[in-house]
Amino acid sequence: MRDDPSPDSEPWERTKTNTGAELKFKEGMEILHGSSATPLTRLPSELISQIFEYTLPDKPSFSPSSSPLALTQICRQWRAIALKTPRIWGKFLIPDWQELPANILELVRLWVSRSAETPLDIDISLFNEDVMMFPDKDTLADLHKLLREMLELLEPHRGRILRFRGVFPEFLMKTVGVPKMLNAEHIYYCGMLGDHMALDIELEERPEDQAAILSMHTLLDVGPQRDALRSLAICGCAADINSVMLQTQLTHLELLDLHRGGELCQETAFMLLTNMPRLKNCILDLTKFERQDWVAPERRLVLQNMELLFISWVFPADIDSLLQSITAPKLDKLGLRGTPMVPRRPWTGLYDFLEASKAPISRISLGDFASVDAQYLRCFAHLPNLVHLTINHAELPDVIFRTLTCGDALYDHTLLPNLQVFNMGVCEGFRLENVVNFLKSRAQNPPEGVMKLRETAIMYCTAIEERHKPVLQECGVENLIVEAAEDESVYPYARVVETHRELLAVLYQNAQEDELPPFPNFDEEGEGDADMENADQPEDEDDNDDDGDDNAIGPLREEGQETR
Amino acid sequence: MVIIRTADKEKFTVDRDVAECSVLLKNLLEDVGENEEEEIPVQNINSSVFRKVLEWCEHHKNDPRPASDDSAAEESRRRTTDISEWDQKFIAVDQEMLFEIILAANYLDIKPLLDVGCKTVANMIKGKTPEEIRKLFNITNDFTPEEEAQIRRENEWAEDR
Repeated sequence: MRDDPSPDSEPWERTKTNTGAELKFKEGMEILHGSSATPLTRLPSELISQIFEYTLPDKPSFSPSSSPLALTQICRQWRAIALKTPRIWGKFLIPDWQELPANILELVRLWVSRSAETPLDIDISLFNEDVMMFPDKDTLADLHKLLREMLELLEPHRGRILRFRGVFPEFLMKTVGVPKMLNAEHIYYCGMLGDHMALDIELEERPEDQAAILSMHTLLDVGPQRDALRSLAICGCAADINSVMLQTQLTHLELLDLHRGGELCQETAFMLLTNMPRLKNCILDLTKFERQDWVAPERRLVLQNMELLFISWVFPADIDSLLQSITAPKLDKLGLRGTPMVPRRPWTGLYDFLEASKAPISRISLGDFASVDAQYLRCFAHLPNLVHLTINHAELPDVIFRTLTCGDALYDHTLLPNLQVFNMGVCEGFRLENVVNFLKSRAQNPPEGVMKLRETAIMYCTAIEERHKPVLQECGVENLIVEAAEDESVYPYARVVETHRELLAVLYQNAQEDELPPFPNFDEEGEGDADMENADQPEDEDDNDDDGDDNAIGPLREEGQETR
Repeated sequence: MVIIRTADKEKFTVDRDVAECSVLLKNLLEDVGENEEEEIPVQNINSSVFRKVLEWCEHHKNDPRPASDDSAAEESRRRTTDISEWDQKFIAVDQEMLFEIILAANYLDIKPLLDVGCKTVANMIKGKTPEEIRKLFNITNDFTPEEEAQIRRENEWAEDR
């Protein structure tokens, strides 16, 4: 049997082997369907319906030139079939308010009605979760009214929502009705950046009224325990953690940037992990100090299914106790972003966790460890499968590079034999020559048993200057990115962040379709190999100072925008 | 080996595992047992289309068979419009044959082949204006004035603000 399919050009006559049978068959078809029938209209309507489902664009659209609306404009037969195919109407995306169609409400009504009883997949992206262009006051009032009407229109259909994603102002939180989405498998709820900022200002202005102010704010209630819910992401609002805690069947949990009144501490994080044994992916943002008398359990909690764990934390939260109380034997990707609170001694939290887990971790991203001695080399000893290592904002002494340099007197061949991607941003404590030797030894003919280093990004490290680029380029790393800050004064403000989304993007590339949550479009986040993302302007930066040198680092904040 | 007779009375001797890509044939073969002499008739398919279908089955005979009750796999198949390179070459046929293959795959109950056919037609539709679609498939615009008016209204809702 030949391997390639035969060309179609095999003419009808050539394959004819007996007396005009094909001709009769064709004639029969014509009698059956009418001689004017075009090949496509000969298909039964259920097949045309199936074809229609495949015409839907990846990004749902209300456009008349895109499916499903376009399908209703071809002929009567197609229109009738399209209107009787609820599945093509069950998924819609409300675009950014600046790109809204003329009458979005009527369109939503049309889609919802034509979707009959089919499960709904809804993305309400009227407002952007990360960046908000401020509409004028009247426009904002109109948009809020529109959003309210839309949510009211959807109210009777909450029970058939399968996937839901949206960004909402706090005053509409209850109208969204997350607790009533009892059959939803994926929920992504994001608060508005403006609400967060307004709360901060309010608390700053009236610190004495903190309790009263917080009591006025709404917490996102996820609703009762249900078996259907698999993915839950809450971002940028206050959450009722108790209702999150009830969702014991989750395989994917993201809790980020939770506002006052619903923040996370290590104790809460531990309880969440205890309650959700099926979790495969977990992204947590800790911002609160746990109660003084909380003691991490002596026996580690085994996270049997955890494959991706990303934890960020900011003072007064810490990570040490949590890491000392869990293991994750199947962990594949680990991200830690924050500064461990340790006195002047080595911090062994990460090492202990890795040693206890003995997990086949292939990718690690560490950020903001600063001058903490995290015992990197001891950690590496427990990472024989590591392919991808990113370290940002940390002190990396020369001994680390020398121990990883094949041929160096300090070389330890057991460390990171599978390393293929190494990135560092805003790191210090090393000399250029040791980095060069490390890269050369790993990228050019590494010894047997050591994988070739093929990708490296070095961003804004004090020891790496513009003039050093040629010597780094000669190291032989196939894909090398070197960014040097031109002015030393900007180093304190340089921010290089690898976000949880980049780890997730990698995860989603390999995920089964039905595991994909309706979460942000990672294409826009620099997925895959673009590992380094510049973000976060210096906190004390003057918004109006657009000409300062600090703009050399990270993306420029557009005028009139705020960024999360 | 099994013998299959097409609508135009041509006989095909086919490996059993190739024939069993078709759920219909698999069931029929179970009914006839090991009797290799018995001809299995496929009434609705002519030899040229059947030959093409067999080519597909031969190439895919070792693929895992979709379970009839696996709704998750079904859902997953529906969500992707990817077609493998071999299948793309295989299905690069004229419209007449394309729709005959779809009909045959539907009749013979070969879901993966039906998917390839349907996705191919869908890809032909995607990105085209209604007029281009009509031209491509030789479809006449037969809307009534009332339907035209409704379509116009829906288009107005969907226009840019």
